[in-house]
Amino acid sequence: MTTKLLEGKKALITGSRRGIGAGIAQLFAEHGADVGINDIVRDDEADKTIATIESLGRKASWHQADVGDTDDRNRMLDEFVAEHGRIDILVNNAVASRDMHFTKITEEFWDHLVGHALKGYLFLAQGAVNRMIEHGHGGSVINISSVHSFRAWPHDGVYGIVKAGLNRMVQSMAHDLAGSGITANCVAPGYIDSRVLSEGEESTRGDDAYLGTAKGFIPNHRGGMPKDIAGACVFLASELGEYVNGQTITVDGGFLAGGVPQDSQPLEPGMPGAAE
Amino acid sequence: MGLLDGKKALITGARKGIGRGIALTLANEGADVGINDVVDDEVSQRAAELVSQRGVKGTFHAGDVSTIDGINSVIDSFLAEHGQIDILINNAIFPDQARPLFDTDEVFWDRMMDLSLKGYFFAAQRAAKEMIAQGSGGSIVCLASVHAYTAIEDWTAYGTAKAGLRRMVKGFAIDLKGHNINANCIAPGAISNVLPDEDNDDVIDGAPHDPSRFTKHLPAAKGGLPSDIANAVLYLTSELGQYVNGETILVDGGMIATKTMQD
Repeated sequence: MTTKLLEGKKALITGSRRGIGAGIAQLFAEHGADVGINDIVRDDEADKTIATIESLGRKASWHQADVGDTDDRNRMLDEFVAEHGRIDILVNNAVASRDMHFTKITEEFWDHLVGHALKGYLFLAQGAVNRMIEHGHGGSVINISSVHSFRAWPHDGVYGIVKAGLNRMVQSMAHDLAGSGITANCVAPGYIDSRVLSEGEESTRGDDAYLGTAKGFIPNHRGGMPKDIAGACVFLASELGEYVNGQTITVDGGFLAGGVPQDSQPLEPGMPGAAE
Repeated sequence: MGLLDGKKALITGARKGIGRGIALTLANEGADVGINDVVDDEVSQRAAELVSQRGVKGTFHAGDVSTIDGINSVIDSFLAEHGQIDILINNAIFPDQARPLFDTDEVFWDRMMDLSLKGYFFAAQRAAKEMIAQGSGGSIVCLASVHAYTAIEDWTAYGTAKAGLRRMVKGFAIDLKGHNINANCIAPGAISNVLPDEDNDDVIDGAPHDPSRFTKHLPAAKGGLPSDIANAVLYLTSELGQYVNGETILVDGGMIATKTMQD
């Protein structure tokens, strides 16, 4: 990596012990940022992500917290600022959802998902932004949204509603944070190969075995990878994207660009949008 | 060493302004750059020299990219110099794009569509054909506009062409499936109108946009600069943005997101 776009930046990435979040943390570190790794549990995957960041010569702080919990969110932000001195970048990424047919959506599931992935994102962003304003050097907030915010797939109602809410959230943030030097944007991933893979299997990331069904209707002819989402986050958090504000950037290999529903192939169980 | 080492990029309408800003930014990141413009003068040559001064190859290719003959001649000339084309930036536009509705005659309409819709289409088609033959993928970026999203008095013809580009890149994404070519738009908002020229030629940005008219309402609280547009182009053409395809990225400081622009 010769061109470093985030030299010296301090970035907190939620849900980053593995998958897309870990991919964002790693690319941020490759671009010179120190990062905070957050998740609800610390395990081997979390240890591996932290070790990867440190092997790149950057600082990785660990923050065990549930973003659906007010006390956890506030404690995490305080811990992060105590470790790093300030916060320049927040990436709201943590989410754990499941499919639920519209007729079967329960209040418990609604409250859980909205509480974590909409309310949790908003108040974590608010806490981060207040600290950025206090510091006076601007900053960047990025919500990880989804192609589900634009279109409906089977049984994705609550998830799609939450993600659509994030797209709208950053528009209000852009408005209300005018002049602060803080930008707020979303990145909307399509099909991403965010599997947890052992070191030996890592070279198979993005191969047909996992997203083979999707490949046929993705113009880029491959499933997305965490680094694709991370690239968009680097753009938005760096000087390159400083005039982009209140936007949602779709990173889906052209998946949403075209097609009609009958083009879609049945999805394998476990894939995003697949039926239970 | 940069994000575009060894890439060969052609930028239309790059004699000055945003096009020149894109050319210099891509050159800073290691790309060899061909400057196209319909005007061939000292300023055009200077733009190519400024590219060369960055340690990469800079060439100038005069031609009118509103005709298919002009497009083919420019791309032939570019290929003769550079051997291949990895990046095409459709940026060319003539000055004074606003025209009241009832003053919009067929001559103005055709001129607008020939350059900024038909010209962009056939330049992208030709470039994509070359990229497929080369077999190493590529990137196409079209300059759209906030006028593709919202109606502002007297900008209907321009906005119609720019809205067409948003749809056009989706079509390129779908029809070029599997060739590792991404096609996207950048939609600028209020960008500095005091652009780099012969008096201000070695910087990417000119003077900031007059903040009094549009920009005081913007979340960014400032006008955009050519570098803001150029940096978005850099993202889409580099490894960072490879999986973005058929998309339009607004680079407008939040203008469209917030509906606060008042003129």
